[in-house]
Amino acid sequence: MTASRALARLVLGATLAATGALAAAVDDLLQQFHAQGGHDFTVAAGEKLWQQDFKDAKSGESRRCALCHTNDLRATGKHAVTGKAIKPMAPSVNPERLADAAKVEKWLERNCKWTLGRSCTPQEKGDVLTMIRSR
Amino acid sequence: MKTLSHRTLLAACVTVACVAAAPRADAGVLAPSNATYVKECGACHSAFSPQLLPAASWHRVMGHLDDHFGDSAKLDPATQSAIEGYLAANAADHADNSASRAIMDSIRPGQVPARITEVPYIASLHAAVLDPRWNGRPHPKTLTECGVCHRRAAEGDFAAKTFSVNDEAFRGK
Repeated sequence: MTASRALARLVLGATLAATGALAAAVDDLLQQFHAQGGHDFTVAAGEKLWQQDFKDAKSGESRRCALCHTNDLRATGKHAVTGKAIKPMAPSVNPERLADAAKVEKWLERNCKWTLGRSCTPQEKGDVLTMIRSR
Repeated sequence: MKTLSHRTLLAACVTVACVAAAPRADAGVLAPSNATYVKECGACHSAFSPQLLPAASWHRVMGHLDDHFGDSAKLDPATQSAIEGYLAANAADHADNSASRAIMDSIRPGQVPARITEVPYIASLHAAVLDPRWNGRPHPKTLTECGVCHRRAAEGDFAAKTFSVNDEAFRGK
């Protein structure tokens, strides 16, 4: 086997492994959100939630997912408070996204708290996850 | 206000003088080395050196992750306690470098700074940039990104020679 062919195999193998991890993690989570009462998750509902404005009770400022992550999930975002760069959310350009179920749950919990002022419902989590996966 | 007040300019000058006069006999503060800490906390802001706050402050910060300066930084209990342990064990009160000593000397007995910029020594060094009237460059929204001005902050080096803010920034251009 030539070096370049070996490399191609390695890259293909790694890509397949990453895709497999993503699919497994997201499927598990969606199943979990379904068991908790969510149903018929759609890209459209996730998109709507992503763009929706929520008023922060304390500061009165308007918050939404896109504020930090931008409207284009393939673009690099920026933390609204610290200004730190946030890697793209779309798995199509950032294969690390959605590959780790615990990480997804941790950030959904934190970011729903900041953006919506509360935890997201299983329905909301399922919709937004379905939308992110499609990007 | 377009121009900086005399008071702010004075603060800026004092800042530069302090930085220039700070003893640099030692290597600076410890660069954060704990992988969990760097990964979890560094996701949103600079992973600050543990030697920039006393242990009591780190316990305070890590005990309120549900409301971390207005944001939820909630972690699972095992990760939280591992990071809290690392920060407290390597805090300024256990450190032997001039910056950590100056930090500890500036804190009143019983005072537990809630954040690094509440440490009197650090607040005085950053008085100009922390002033709401600051309109110079750089213009950070918060002081969570040390590396914007301190080019070698990630290595724990805050010495004057690696400090990249020039006179023009302090003139408010």
